Amino acid sequence: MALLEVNGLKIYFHTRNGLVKAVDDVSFTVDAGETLAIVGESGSGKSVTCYSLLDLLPKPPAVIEAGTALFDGEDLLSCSTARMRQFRGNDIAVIFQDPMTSLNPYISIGEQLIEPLIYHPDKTRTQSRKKARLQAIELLDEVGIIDPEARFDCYPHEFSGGMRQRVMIAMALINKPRLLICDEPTTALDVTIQAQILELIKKLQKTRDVAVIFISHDLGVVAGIADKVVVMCEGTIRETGDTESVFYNSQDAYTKKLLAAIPEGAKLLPNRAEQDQPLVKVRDLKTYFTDFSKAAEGKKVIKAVDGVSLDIKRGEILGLVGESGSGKSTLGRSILQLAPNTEGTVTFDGSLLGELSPKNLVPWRRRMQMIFQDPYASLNPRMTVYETLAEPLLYHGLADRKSIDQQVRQLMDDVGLAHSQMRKYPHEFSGGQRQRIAIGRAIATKPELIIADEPVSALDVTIQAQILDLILALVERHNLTMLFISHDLSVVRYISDRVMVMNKGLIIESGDTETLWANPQQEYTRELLKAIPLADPKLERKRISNI
Amino acid sequence: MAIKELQPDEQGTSLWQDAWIKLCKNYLALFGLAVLALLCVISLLTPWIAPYGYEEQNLLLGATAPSLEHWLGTDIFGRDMLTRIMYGGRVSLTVGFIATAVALLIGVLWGAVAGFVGGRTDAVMMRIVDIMYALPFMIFIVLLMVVFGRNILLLFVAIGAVEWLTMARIVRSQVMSLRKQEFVEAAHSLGLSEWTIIRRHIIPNTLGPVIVYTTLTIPSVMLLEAFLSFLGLGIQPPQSSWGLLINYGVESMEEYPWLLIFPGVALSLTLFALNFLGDGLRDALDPRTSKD
Amino acid sequence: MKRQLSDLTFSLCSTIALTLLSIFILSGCGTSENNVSIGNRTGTLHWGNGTEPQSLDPHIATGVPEHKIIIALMEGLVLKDSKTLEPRPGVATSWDISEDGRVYTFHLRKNARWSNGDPHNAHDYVWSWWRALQPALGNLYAYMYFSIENAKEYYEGSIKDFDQVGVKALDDFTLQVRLKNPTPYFLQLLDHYSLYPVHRQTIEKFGGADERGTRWTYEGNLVGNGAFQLLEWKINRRVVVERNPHYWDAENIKLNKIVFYPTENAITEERMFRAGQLHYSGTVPADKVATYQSRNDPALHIDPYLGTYFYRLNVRVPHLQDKRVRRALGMTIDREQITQRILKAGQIPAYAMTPPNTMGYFPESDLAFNPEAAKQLLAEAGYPNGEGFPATEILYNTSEGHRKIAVAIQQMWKTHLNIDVKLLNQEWKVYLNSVSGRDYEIARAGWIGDYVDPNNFLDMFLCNGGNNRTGWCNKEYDRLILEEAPTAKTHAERLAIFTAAEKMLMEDMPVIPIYIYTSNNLVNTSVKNFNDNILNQPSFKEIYLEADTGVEN
Repeated sequence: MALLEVNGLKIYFHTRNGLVKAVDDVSFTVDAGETLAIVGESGSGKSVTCYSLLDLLPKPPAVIEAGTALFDGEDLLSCSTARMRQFRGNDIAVIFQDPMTSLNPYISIGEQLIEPLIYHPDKTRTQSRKKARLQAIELLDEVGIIDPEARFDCYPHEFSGGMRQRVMIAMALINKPRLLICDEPTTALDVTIQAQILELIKKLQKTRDVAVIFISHDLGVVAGIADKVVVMCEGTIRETGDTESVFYNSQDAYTKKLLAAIPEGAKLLPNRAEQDQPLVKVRDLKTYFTDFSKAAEGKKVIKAVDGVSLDIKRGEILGLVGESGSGKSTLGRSILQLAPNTEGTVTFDGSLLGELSPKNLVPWRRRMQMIFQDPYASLNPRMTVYETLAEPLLYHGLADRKSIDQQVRQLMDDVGLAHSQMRKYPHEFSGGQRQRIAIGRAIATKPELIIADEPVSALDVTIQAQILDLILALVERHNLTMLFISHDLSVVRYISDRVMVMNKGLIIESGDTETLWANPQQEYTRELLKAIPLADPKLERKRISNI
Repeated sequence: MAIKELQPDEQGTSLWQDAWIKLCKNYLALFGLAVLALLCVISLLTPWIAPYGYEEQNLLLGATAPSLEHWLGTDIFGRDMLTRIMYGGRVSLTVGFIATAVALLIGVLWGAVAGFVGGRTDAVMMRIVDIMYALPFMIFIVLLMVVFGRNILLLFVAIGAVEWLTMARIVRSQVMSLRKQEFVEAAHSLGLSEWTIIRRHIIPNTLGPVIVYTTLTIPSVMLLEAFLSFLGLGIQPPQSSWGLLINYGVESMEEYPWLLIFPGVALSLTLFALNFLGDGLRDALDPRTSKD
Repeated sequence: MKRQLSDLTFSLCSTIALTLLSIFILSGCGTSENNVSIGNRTGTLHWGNGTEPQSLDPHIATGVPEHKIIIALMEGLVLKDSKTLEPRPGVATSWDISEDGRVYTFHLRKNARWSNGDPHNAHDYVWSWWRALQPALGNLYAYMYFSIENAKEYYEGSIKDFDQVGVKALDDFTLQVRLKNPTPYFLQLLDHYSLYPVHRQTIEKFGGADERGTRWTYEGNLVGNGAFQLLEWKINRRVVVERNPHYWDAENIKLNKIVFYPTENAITEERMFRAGQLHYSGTVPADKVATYQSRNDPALHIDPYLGTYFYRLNVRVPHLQDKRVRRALGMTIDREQITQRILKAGQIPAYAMTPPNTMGYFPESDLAFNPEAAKQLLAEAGYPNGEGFPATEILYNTSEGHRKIAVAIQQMWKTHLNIDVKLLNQEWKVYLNSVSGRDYEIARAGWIGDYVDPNNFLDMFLCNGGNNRTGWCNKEYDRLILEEAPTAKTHAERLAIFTAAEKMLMEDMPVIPIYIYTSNNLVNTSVKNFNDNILNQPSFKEIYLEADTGVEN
């Protein structure tokens, strides 16, 4: 018998804007010791499905309309609150996406770990503090925390993101659950850390023999660890099967689309870089911030960019990769003069930008634009598409009252938005469409340089592919030069002519994309490249076991 | 290229037109607006439509319950309550709106500048706000009165000058979170001037809490006026305001309940109307709420 | 936001709460036993006393609430009859008055004791009065001593030697007092607390004799000679006094305890009375008087009170310098309407400063309500039909009652004289400052008699009278009050002099009398032997409690 058997699950949300069928007739099973991956894009209902198992959905608006979820023969959806608490405490554990918000910042991680042991609702299972501590330290050791005894009394902020996620995993395992639900556990992590965590989950699952439900939007992540894959879209299951069959012999159009959307291989378009004078010359650029916060104990200078020199040639797409905190975003903003230049120079088309007053900088701003990561935050929610796109045109005098409608429409055509959506507000659009609006705003002033800061990281994989193609097309059509910043190496490889690798405020390696891929010079670059998950189960399993 | 006529669905509307359309579908808010409009019209026309003079005493009549001659009764001086409430409304509404407008203007600008500029400017500006907060408000007003003399206009300014503090804090915190949003950075990268950014991108996004707080400020200002007048710092008899009428009414509510009930109803009505309208406006001005 | 919100919510809530509360009280929820019925059983009188006493030192205190407590704790040489106010023996059993009325010899009772058991004799008076006349003590009632020979000179420093002041202990139980002039009301003064004796050892134990604010009046310290002694003084909560076993007349005292409650708000105090929490309340909100009257409630005591409500006119203000203007203002106040329609508690319209029948004195006045004549006068003064009358303000201390009168008068002057007068209210202390600094035009005032004699009302307006405050000065008036009246041979002659003086005062009208106060008391029917008098002075040693049988509350 399966450990968990979900049958005909239907969850509807009764919202102000009507009924939303979040989960519509979903069935799957998980056997003991098995890893099931639920893959889908945002809004597919994958998280709702799993949260309903632990009664973590807000009700209302959520209503479970139909279905059963038998865990060991007992229905999770209809059990009492007290029984559910027992399930949560003993049998089923969850790991959430963001390890920082899942840990209480005011309690040491050791204390948080042993809490379920010494305050267990079942009195027969409570333990003495001393015993619990020993058990917790053992567990911390198991999840790969170095020197667990000493780290036991540390607070969450003293750990890095990856270490925190390890602590979270330890917490999930403390009561020896039989089912572990991981909700995008590696999405917030850097690629090298992600690889480590995936490996850890895989190892634990084997040694402890727990069943795992692994929720992810990323097929590549799933490929290496899942036994079975469920593909969800818009609340329904599109395909269920073991990992190999889904990846290699998928019958479903949607699954195929997902697989096809994974960026793979090199840039297909030719390099259009002009070899004469570079458009942007950065020399020895340093950007320091002073941290005044109390935790920093006095003045602490953060060296976000610590002496970077680079050239961006006209017409090229320069990829900038690095992990979080490497300073890649700050570098982009510094070039655009949105972040202070502590030292060094930025030359744009022969002019030193750092010497210009804010007022004199305005004409230059027209020539260089930025695309931001989060299309939800980068658009003013109180301005319609029309207003957002018209603002730069009018402000820089690129259009007058007469031609403005025509120009805005032209822009919308460029980025693939229907004219009928001209008067809508950002919230009425999906993430991909919003990013199109943001791109439209960036190209409105007919700039020469665009700095794209993780423009596709917040998007679903199919949308990501569309936006990447849009960017490539626009670069081509408008003869743009682009600095493309991303943590995702596959994406960078897919789009860039040339790549620079950034780490700790410094550029450690650069070169033509394919050359660098084939023959990385630096150890760090090699690590990065090795950590890229592959959307191919066989290769991916091999890759993980090699780490 | 010839400019095409806009398609109907492209025509669209501005934020304000849009808000108006949405407001028209919110019956509670419309009701609030109607009540406020009615009260304002009555107040404007009071000198011509009031049945009696507001200071016309009839001591022989004294306090009488509502009757055909005096629809809302009379107070102990035999003055017609309807007339008194109408004239009181003039004072209360004027104080409420003007003082709140002053508070709004100072508070929003102060908060927006402090929040947007940040750093040392913000620290200095907010310490000023803190000092003003710590300053006993009565002392502040009495000082103003002593320096500038008693004057009804000054009363508006004085109340407004005290009420803006909270507004400034609300706006500042809003602005501080907005300032870090990417759409503001996008505006920077477009080269917009700071002032344009505050005006176009920051202030419209603080509207929700500002409107709600404004609708709460107006009635509290009206009561504040009553308090100051009661202490002899505001308007003086025979002039009156709703707050003062309520104050007087409380003292004799067992003997002459109508002296409390009617001004109380007038003030409560305004308060409800403002709250309904405020909620309606907040929703209407937020494009995220559905148009349907 | 929170602050304003809570203000708003608070005012609304309190309005609603008050309404509910009053409905609750009115519906008569007297199931559990209240203070009154407990007090009736235990002999405890619950007394609503207005405000918190500022001091219980008889040589420092000035207010009415202090007065009520001090007369329970201390006693003078002479008491007053609680009905007629005739002198009655107090610490002195008897007294002799010399032929010329200038020498009083008091024979003190031998069994008088302080509340700690110490003997109490004539020397206590000499020392106490010496203390009361020390300028450093800041005794506002020092002028009560000024009829005693050389007392004023000593107080003002022109005489250094207290032996020259007319107070002398002939022996332990005989006290001789020499007066400057025959003073018919001297015996009355002795019952005023400013002439009460104080316990020397106690005062010196806690500080200097002329030191203000020492701890000698605190709970556990105070030693008095009255029928009761201080048991408890909890600031802003209550003052409790209990029977003094050492009091000379202790066996005739019926009450065991009196609890004085400081309740600032008259409306609250009235509600407490109605709820049976108080036996007595001394302030009845004006609007409530009618309610009690309409149901003939025996609890309501309305009696004439030796006090006048009047408006001061600052005669230094240019347009108020003209006595025709002052008279015109005085003649256009319809006092009948004010007393009957606004005050509604039996107040008497006042056309002179002194209340009628003050020791047989009935003031004569040509003041009357006469708008026509007033208009004429105002026109003569240069303001025909009120035209060009300068901006004028009526100043009053913040209070509902004063506001009502001012609003009515404002309208009367508007109607009859066609002049616009503004109202200005100030907090009590600011108001006092404005009035004594003569920074006003017209100011509301009230004067409550300290003793029953016209002199007490008329000597206020001497040129350098501390309470004059109008800037009005008339040498002839001063002569009548200071020289003629004290040397008058008979009571009738003396009254005639006062009559003449008061006529002069009303002729010039630096003050506009408005009405004679009444004392409005709410007294529970279980309080027996409570006698009303024009000084509104209770006699705690006579009062006893006896629950009415049958009727509960």
